[in-house]
Amino acid sequence: MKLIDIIWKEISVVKSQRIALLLIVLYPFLAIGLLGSSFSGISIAQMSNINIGLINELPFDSNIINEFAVGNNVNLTEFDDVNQLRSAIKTKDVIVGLKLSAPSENSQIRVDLFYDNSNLMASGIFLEYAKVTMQRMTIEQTKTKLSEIFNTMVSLGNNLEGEITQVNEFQRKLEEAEIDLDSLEAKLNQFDFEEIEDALDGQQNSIDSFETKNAEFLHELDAFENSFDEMKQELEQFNNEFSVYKEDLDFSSTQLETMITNLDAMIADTAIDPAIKAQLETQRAGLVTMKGKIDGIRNGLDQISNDQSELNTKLNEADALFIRLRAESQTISSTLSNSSATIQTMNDDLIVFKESIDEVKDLIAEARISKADIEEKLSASSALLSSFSGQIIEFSNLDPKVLAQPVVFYEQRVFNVDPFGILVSNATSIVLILTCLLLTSIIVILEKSENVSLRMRLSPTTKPMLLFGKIIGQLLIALVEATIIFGVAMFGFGINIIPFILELYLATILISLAFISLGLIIASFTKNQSTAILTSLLIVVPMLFLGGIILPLEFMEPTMQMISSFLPLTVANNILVGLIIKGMSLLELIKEIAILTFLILFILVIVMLKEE
Amino acid sequence: MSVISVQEVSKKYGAKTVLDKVSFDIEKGEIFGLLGSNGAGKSTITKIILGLEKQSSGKIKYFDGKPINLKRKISLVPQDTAFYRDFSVEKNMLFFASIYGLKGKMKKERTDFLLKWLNLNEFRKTKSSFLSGGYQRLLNIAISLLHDPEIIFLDEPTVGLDPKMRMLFWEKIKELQASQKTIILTTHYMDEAESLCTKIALLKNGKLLTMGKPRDLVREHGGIRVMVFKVTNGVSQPDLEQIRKALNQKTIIEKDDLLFIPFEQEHSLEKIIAVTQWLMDKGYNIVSSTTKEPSLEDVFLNITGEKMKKEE
Repeated sequence: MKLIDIIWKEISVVKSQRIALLLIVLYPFLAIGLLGSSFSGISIAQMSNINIGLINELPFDSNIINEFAVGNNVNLTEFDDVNQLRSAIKTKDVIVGLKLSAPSENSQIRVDLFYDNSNLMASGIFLEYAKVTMQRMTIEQTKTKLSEIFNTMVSLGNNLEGEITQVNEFQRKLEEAEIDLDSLEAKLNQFDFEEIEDALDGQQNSIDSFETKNAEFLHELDAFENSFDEMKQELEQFNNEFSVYKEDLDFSSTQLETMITNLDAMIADTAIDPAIKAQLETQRAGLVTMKGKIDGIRNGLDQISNDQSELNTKLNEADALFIRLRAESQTISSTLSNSSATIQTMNDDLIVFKESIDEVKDLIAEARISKADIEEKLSASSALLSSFSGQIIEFSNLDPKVLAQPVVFYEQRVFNVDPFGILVSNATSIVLILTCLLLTSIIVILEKSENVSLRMRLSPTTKPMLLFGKIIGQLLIALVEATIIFGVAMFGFGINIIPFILELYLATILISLAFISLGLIIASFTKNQSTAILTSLLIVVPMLFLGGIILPLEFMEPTMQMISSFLPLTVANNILVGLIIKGMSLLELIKEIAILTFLILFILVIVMLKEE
Repeated sequence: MSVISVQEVSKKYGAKTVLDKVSFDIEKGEIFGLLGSNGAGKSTITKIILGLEKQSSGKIKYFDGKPINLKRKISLVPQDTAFYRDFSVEKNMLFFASIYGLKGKMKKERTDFLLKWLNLNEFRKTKSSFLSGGYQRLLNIAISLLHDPEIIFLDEPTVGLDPKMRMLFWEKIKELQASQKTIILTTHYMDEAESLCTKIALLKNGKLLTMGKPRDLVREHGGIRVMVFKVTNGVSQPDLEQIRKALNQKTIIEKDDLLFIPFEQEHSLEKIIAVTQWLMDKGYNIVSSTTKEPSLEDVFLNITGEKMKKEE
């Protein structure tokens, strides 16, 4: 329970500190947000606006550098000589300088890498970056070249000439094939399909004519047969009537015979008056005559009947003939129909044949196009083979050493200082910001909390006097700190600061004043030490990360780079690096001096107004 | 001579009025007491007089309007210590002497004088944070007196001090008054105000309720005097009623053998004697009799309707 109370007390105390609470909430966002937005996706590959200086003394056109620039988002600036390049690195116009030289195209390329060794991490990273990238570029090139040649050699075998001959032979065969195609096409063209079609049409017409005539014949035959049938019917009817007549005649003859017999009997009868007998004799004679006439007619009729039978026979023969004729005609008609069908089939076959011929012609045309295409490809292939052949010859001229290590690097430090020299400037900046900013803010808060500032405000001493007394006191502490660092640098690591010691101390004063001012403004807006410390850290920590001391500014987004270049720590570090490492004068660092001076005046005005 | 004249001073923070047309004069050599509960406006008027804040309206005149450097004439002894706790006593004195504008020998002389006067001389090399609470308060006063100010603001100077140290403080304050220093005292201790102050201003909710000499305030606003008799076995109820009728006082009460009889301050002695005689005549055994006089506490209670808190 007691522990819980203590824990709760701790949380309550923090909660009661509003600014501290705000900072606690803000810190993660600031740390993650600020650093995240500044260094998101931190990798050299994602860097932008990398300025690289170039002196190209290669005796041939080399596209390596251009590829390097395009592939890595760098800005290339060409320089005429090394001094210009060194000056550009000194003023940070370029980060790394490359001087390319080689005795000949087939010799190793010498790359002198001029790097800004005033920032340990940045220079190391960029140096390695430049080396690795250049090496990667050249190795890639070598690899590609070797791979191309190797593939060529595998595909073509050992005899490139033989391959070319084979290609030529292939071309010759293609030519022959084209001649054959021409011949085939000519032969196909000889087919006069219209003539064949006309002949077939003529045949068809003749068959049609025959069929018509046959049909007419049949028609006439039918008409004749009908007439013949009518005649036969009439003859039948006549025969029938004739038979009736004949029977009538036979009956009449029989009757007359009977009558004659009867008369003879009567005549022979003596009982009959001879006069009647004489009359009977006369009548009998008349009857015998009549019977003779009737028998004559009857014989005539028999003759006629015989003729009629003969006619009937002939008519029957004619009927049979008609049947045969009809059968013959139908056979002809059938034959003609078959012929017509055959001609139709021939016509259909002819159409199919014609289409086939057209297809063959199309095939021939396509074959010609293919042949032209193949010829073109073969020509290209021939040219390629010749090119490969040339490349292999060229390759054979290459020095293996160039292929194995096409680029030789020589590191050239722009500033003649060892890593300890770099540390002196960085350490001075960091120590000054921590000392001045934290001490000033803490002491001001201490004076506030112990009512000393209230007593001072009520004293006759003016506010500017109090303020400047505080600033100068803090400045003296900062100078002692700086002197210790400079002493260690000079006597411990042999860095000679004597030639520029006056400028160095002037710069230290300016930098210290800037950081003291920051401490004052922090104290003006905070009420207790913990908040002041948190706020100080809130200002110092991002500046450490964004100031280019720990991580190179070039890793940041362009906007953040610009903002960072105005941060007091960045500016202070630039001044110290300029003086200690780059050998610059204060006049050359006028921009940085102006920024810090403006910052100091601006903050002091705010602090004075806040005090009022 | 009026060293500070506060005329119709008001102070507003936004819509909130913390001082409402407050007026008073402080004469040279006075110990002027500012009394009031928390939020009465004591701190605000003090800050305005010290120049730490500006009034919203009204006027303050110092030394009858003569042109002066106020910061050389005025000083504050804050309730909490106001010096560098890590400095020695002497170092603090010398530093603030410089801040207060003393130069050369004067710094040393004034430091020596004050350290001796406030019994701090033996601690002059001691780190200030090592001093006891009482001596830290003395150092606080010593620093505030370095530039020999004419007006001294004492903000709760004896809070948390033991009685002995408190008496020492009162003694020193009276010595300062004797040397014609004008002292403005804010305190919660009514006895301290009553004992030290020559004039008292009573504030409530930013308004000046009353002002005057302590004795006058007690007389005017202190209310009644109470006589307390201790009688063996107490007073019988009929006798008690008889006393109430005779004195025409219904508020006479009896509790645990104690008889409480309130009297008006004026002409009360005769009545006290008469009651004492009457009780003795009735045969009561009076063990003791005491009088509870009205105080500034009563004044405060009567005027503000609330009791003064002892600690802030």
